[in-house]
Amino acid sequence: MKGRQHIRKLSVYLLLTAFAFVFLVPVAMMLFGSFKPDDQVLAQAGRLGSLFPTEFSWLNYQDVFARVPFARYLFNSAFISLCIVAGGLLVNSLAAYAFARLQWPGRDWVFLVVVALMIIPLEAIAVPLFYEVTLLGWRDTYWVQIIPFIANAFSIYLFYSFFLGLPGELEEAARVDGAGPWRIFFRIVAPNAKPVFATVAILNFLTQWGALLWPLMVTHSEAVRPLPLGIATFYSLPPLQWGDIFAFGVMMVTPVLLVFVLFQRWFVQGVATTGVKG
Amino acid sequence: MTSSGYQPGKQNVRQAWLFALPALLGLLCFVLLPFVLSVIISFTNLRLGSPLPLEFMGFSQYQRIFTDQAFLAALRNNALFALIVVPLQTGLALLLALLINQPLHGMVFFRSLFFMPVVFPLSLVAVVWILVFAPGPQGLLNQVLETITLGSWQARDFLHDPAWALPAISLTSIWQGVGFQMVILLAALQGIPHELYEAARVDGADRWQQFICITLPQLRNAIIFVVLVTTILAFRLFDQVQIMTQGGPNHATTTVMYEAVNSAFGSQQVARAAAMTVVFFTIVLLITLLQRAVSRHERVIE
Amino acid sequence: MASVELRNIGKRFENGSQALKEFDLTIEDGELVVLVGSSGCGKSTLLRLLAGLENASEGEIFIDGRNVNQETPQQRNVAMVFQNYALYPHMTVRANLEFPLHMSRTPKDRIKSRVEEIAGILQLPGLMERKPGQLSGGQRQRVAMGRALVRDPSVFLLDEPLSNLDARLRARIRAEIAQIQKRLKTTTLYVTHDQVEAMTLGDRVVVLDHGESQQIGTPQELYDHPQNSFVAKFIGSPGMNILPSELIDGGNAQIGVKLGGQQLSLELERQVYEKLVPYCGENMYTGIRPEAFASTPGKASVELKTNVEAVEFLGHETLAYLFLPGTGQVRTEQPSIARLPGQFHKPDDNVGVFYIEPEALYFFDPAGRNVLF
Repeated sequence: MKGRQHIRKLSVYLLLTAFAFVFLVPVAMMLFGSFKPDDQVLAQAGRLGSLFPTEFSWLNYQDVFARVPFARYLFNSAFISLCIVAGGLLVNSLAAYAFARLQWPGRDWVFLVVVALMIIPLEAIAVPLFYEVTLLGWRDTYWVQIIPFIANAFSIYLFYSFFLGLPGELEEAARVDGAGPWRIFFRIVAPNAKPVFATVAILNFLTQWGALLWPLMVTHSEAVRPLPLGIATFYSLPPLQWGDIFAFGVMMVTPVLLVFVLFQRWFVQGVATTGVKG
Repeated sequence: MTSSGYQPGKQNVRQAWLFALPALLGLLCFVLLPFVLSVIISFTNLRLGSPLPLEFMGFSQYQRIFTDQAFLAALRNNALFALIVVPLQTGLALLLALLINQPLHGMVFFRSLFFMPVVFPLSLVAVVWILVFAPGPQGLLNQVLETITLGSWQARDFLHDPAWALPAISLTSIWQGVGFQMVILLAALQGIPHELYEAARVDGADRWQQFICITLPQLRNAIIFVVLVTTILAFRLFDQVQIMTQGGPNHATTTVMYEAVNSAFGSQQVARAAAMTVVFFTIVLLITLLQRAVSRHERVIE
Repeated sequence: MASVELRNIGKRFENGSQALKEFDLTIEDGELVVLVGSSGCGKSTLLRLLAGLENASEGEIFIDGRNVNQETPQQRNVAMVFQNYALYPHMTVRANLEFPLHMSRTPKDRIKSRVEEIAGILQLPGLMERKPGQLSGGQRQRVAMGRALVRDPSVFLLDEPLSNLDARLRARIRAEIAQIQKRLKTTTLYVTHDQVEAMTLGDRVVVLDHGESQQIGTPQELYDHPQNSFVAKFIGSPGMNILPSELIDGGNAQIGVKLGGQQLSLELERQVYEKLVPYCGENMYTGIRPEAFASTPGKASVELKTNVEAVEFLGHETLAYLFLPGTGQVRTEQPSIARLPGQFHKPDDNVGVFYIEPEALYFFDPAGRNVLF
């Protein structure tokens, strides 16, 4: 029996390592390639050499900054994502609380509409939204990339599910103690809702950091464009220098990876709870 | 426990509206309104820069797109893409989740590893995989396949080969997305009470039977959810196409969204683009309703 | 300090269920009234109505003579201890105690002194900087009470405050609650399903069943003179044994009580006899408290033959589980219970003969009403 168990353990590790290898390949290529001069990158492209650090130089990184306003892109992505996340946390949690805990006429019907809106992806409304923001004169600004995305039906739904699951006693005790709904929300409910705030923040941050379609449609000046656009245009910018591209990629993904590593538990928990609820 | 409301005096209703108003306003202006506009526009002949007056066209836009080769190809591609990616990605995610669910050391490391690509923006993933798919014998994937098949593999230019372009994009998407599904399935796996397996063992079930009779049924709703989300995402396919293949070669990788964006910005045919997005939304809606019906059915049984 | 009056209270929920019906109660200033009943009887609902957490469908609530139907909990100046304490988990004990005072905009120095005062009464200093998660059950209970009392409320409401504690702790904290209430003289409504708490704590007790009040009275009144069989069965541990029986007029102030296969012959006072005569020949119920069984005859006792099914020796007394032949008990598997002092052994032939004083018998009509009330 012991022997069989050992074989099983071994095969599990083997399989996992094999998959891990596959998963790591593009990442390793990108990471190590970013430190190699371009001719080496291309030369090694087909071989194992591309997966190992054979040289080390910051040249590509310097190049990136020279060729495109990377710092600007980075700032834009960060600013836009943070604004959307912060605004969203406030606005969506308040609305969800109103649906979950407050009584007002028409509440259930409005909520049904909100839930229905969850299905509508950006793509289905991108075109008219484009004309809407053009009419508003928001083209090519930060705001056009932020404001439309603060209110989010899915976030509302996540908050709503969570608030419903909170034991009502805390809020009732606060009511008996004399607190009104605003105080109850900010002093009692929100401090005890940290998990859902983290989940919503992380999911939204991930989505917004990688947004490509919308910025592509509504911006054209580099002053306000975010990173994903940066790398797309960088890629189409002659000459095609893979080393530079990889350096760009590494820098683009490092902030998110950092956040991921630091908040790993929340990340995974957040993604998992959306599924288990679903 | 149902929450009883406040005494519904005027003041409390006003406060409730204040709570909900910002979000509702945002959703109204930036989701509901454009959507309704989208539907309306799809029935017109709206085209930027066109001297023609705006007129109501009925279903003619829809007729046009359904007779357009490119759009039909896009629909076909989306469906194909979904048919390839959804089972493969789900199966792989399930396999990985099962492997990681073992009480062994280092599982957290593997879990983080497989989840990591999810954190990468699609645009970056697309760019990096372009190199992986590099044509010629030096291309990484070509090299690997040559090694595996012991030299009988002929180097291909994946992204420019009509037969291989879509599978290539599928592979990229699977790589990026499997971690997401895996984490959901893993959470569901860990939610299965141990006692069920123990009871089955006592009843004499072997591992395979346990998997079929306990694991899969318990995972049913999680799997349905994961299939739904992946399918919807499959129909939203845009980023990789935009960067890697621009819809080619010969419409082999064009998608509904890609066609829509091109219609709107490439040829300024806004109404046409709107019709496409309405078709897209309808498909997504149908799939969602289907999922809810299937999972609700299960809940009733339970 | 205030008096409370509940007049004709009714509560119907959205799903149609009627939680409370025509409920009346007056609580005097400084009184501790216990509202007792099994789960779902509506007691928690009543408490919440009084607190202002829900609106009554019918009826009025008066606090200190003032109609408070439209007032918020804060306006009513009520305070409540919740079943699960509902302490704010992210705040320290001190912050929990201060919270109600912050809400009512009490000046800072007054808050400080009041919190210290309450903490002293409830023996909380030393715990003030801890969070609820770091406290034991009994400590949390005291903090919950402190938070309720810190506002010096007019009415103090407790919702099954002891149900989450283990048996030993329950007895001790029960005594503490009684002490504190006596000391502060706050008008209190205490809700529980445990009749022991009702009997030991209440100045008066309200027995509630399915939203309707069954009887209101002192513990002694409820024990000695239950108004109906529900109250009789509910009060006492164990409660009264109720057996189907038939009354036979024996003439001359004598009533025969037919209990299954046997008939007891009772010599009664004239008034009692006359009260019972109208019920002769009907399907009645006879009630015997477990404490009324004796194994040796007394002055006027009647003899009762039973089948002893089982005995449980508790040290100071024995519980005997009995079937009276012919009463259908075996079929329904609901034995009668007798409490006998000291040790009582199960007879070899399972036949137990007991002696009951006629005054200890209760009679209930088919609707459950105590006809001698």
